[in-house]
Amino acid sequence: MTNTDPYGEGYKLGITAGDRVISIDGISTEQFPSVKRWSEVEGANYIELESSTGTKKELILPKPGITETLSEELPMSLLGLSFWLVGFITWVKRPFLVQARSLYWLNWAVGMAIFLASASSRDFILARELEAFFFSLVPSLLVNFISVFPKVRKNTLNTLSIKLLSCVTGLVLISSLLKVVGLLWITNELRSLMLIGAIVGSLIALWNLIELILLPDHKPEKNQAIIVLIGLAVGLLPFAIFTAIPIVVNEIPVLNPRISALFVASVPIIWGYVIVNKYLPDGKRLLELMLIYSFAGLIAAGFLSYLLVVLRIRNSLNLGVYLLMLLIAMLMFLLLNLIELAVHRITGKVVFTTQQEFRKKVDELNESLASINEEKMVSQIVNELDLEGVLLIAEDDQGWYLQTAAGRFLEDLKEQELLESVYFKAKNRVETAEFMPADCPAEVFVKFHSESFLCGIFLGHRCSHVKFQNWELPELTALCNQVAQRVKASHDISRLSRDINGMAISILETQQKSHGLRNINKSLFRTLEEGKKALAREIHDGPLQLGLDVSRRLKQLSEDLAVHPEKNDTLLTMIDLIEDLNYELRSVCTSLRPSSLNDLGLISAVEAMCQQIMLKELLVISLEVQSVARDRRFTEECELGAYRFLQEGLNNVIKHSGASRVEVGIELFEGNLGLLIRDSGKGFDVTKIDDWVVSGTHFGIIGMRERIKGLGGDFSIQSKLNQGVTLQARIPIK
Amino acid sequence: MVVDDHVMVAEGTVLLLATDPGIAVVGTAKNGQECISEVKAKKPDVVLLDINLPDICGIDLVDKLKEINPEIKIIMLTGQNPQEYITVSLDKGAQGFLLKDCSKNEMTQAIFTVNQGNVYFSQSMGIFLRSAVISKQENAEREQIEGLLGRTLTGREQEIMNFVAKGLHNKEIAAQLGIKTRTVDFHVSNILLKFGVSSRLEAVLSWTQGDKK
Repeated sequence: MTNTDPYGEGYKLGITAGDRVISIDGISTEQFPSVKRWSEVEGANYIELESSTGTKKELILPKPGITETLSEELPMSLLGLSFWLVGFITWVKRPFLVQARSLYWLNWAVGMAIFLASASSRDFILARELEAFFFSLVPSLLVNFISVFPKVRKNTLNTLSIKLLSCVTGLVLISSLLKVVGLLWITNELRSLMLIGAIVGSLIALWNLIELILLPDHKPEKNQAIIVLIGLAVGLLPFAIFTAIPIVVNEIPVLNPRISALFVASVPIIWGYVIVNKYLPDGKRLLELMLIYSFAGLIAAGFLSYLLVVLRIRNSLNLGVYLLMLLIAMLMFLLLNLIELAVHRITGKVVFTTQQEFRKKVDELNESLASINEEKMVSQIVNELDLEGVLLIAEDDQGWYLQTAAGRFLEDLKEQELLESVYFKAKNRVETAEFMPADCPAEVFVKFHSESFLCGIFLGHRCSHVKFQNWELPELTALCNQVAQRVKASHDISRLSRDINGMAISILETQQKSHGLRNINKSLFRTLEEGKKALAREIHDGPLQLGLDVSRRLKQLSEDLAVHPEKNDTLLTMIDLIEDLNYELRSVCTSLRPSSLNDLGLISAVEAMCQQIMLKELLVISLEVQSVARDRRFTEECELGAYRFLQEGLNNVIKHSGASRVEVGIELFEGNLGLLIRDSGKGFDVTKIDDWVVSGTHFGIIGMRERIKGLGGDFSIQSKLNQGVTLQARIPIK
Repeated sequence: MVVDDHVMVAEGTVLLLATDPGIAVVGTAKNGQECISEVKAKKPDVVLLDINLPDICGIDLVDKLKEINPEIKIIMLTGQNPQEYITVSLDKGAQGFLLKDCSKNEMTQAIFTVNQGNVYFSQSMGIFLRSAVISKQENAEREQIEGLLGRTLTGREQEIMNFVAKGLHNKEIAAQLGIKTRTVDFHVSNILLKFGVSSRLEAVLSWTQGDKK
């Protein structure tokens, strides 16, 4: 007898380590085949012992009843079954995943091993052999599972280890079979081999897990590996801490091995969960939570153990006591948390609703911030959130500034000024939302910054004088950001609409001006022409006629006085004078408004004008008329416009160009009258024309342009310095 | 018959002509309408027609009068430069041109010439006639004109030509020489006739070429 189980009946009946077993159930010890193979016996009823001191003992172990047997064996059987069941369910839910299949086989092996462990004590045929076989199978299946989880990573290490462990399994199988046949007797070596295999398998699995956990955060494999690890921890740690460690330290186990063994069932459950679900909870956060609880438990346990010693419930502070306290502390924590969660769930809907109410208020407010009017918005906030007051300050980098208050701040201007100064100080700080110091009339300050727009919102204290909480700040910030965006939008819109209005007005004005100017031009030209016409007519009808008449009479008088020659020279002088007068008057009339234009038409008038010029100036005019009959008439407006164009153009040639030759063209094409004046004189800088328009000089050419345009035609000047000038006009014929 | 819209001119002309025994003024008219009705009524041989009538251009009237009486003789009267009108009037069938400030003698002479079936042009119209002549090829006028062609310039004309060649305008030349502008114009037109050119520039070119010779 090397080991005793303190819970076992044998111990209770007095067996101690060091006793030598003589016979079991009347049979000599050596006869038992299981003793031969495995050095184990189970299920004995009657034992004969000889203690180390030499006294013989006889023990009758009561055969346990059915219920007792059941209660002892059921947990383990259930555990084995649950392993297999979880594996099966996983496979059913994810039939196509290779991970699910691998888990299934692993769980099957583990389940069989556990199941057979209880069966082997009944000395069933080959039970122990099968147990050994399955036990050695588990490591290789474990490594196989790990190597395909979560993604197939069959690297050299994994494949090699799988092969190795399969070899071990094979060895175990063969040796067990040989044992059955009776050829081989090694037991301890086999056991050690299985143990080594188990350790190697576990280490390799652990190594793979660690590799996965060291992956970068964004890879899903990391989270899956963490949860697998958590599963392992939750499953194995209770057993390890509360059962294994005490045994190792030769203490009484705190937790019955059977119960701590049940925790192991959580391992396949969690692993199956990881495989079935693609989207998992945050493994890191769960790990953190577990660590926090563990630390809390450790500290509480230490405290409790100390308390126990102080209160003299226990005599000494040893590991067993401590672990017991640890267990109690952890259980208490778990229980308390569950109760709190349940109560919160139940009453949170009905009784203690502050969090929800606040959230609901903020949501409603978000929805109802419909208006774009800043004053309405801030007063809405005051009303809905039940605050004392709200102050909104907004500005942009072009000098616009807005300040709107509601509630208490509306009346109290001093507080507004105070908050203003806070705002200006806070403008350059980085934080977007912060709690104000206690002496400030506002409690929360939220800043919103976008492009060149800056908005700060001060939220006053609650009417109930209850302070805002940290967890309320994000919602308040979101709300204030919304308000600030509305303000920005309304500001941008009003600025845009102002600009557009301004532009529309100025466009309208410009159009009107331009229209007005055209009309003014038209009237001016008309007035001018009428003036010239009237003047020519006046001169013709008045002074010229008088002059002609006087001239004739004088001539008559002269002839009459031929008889008396001495009076004649005064007369002759007068005749001369009058002739001059008439001559000049005629010239004036013609140059003002040639009657031939009305009487004979454009072509004749232009011809006459050219001939006249050629007499008076050192200029040769070459007049070319195309597609126009000499007596072709156009509207008075058109003939006048064309005549004046040519008149002005030729005057300019005479005055400015210094040329001795000029081409004049009149052509009729496609319902238009085309006019051309081309010289090869000094020319001028055409770009200066627009300056002339502005400065009002050189009205002749500009006036000509306006006049032609007023007739619905086109006008163009082409010129380069020293390369002459080409004037062209097109007047549509109606 | 005298047709003119200026009453004083018309009456004055009538008075002038009344002194000549060979001419009898049968009527006057102030506008085209009156003219036509009077011509129909009075049937004159010669009509003195003002180009500038209020309701119709005198030249268009020529057509109408010719319709009434194809044999009627028409002398156009004008107070202005007649250049443009000459060709057209002749095309339509007018027989003569007179400036309104012509002397009585000229007027009577014109009436008699025209009545005999010839054409008459006022003396001072020489230069204006050249283009008309070219298109009409009336021998009589051509003689009148070509009489001047090729003649050498008078002293005065040469003086003036010098100034013209320097680029002075007629007004300036008149100021330089102390004569009337009208006189200078007259000389210049003669010069152009003598050179046989129709533009001042060509005259200068001929003059300078002549100088070089």
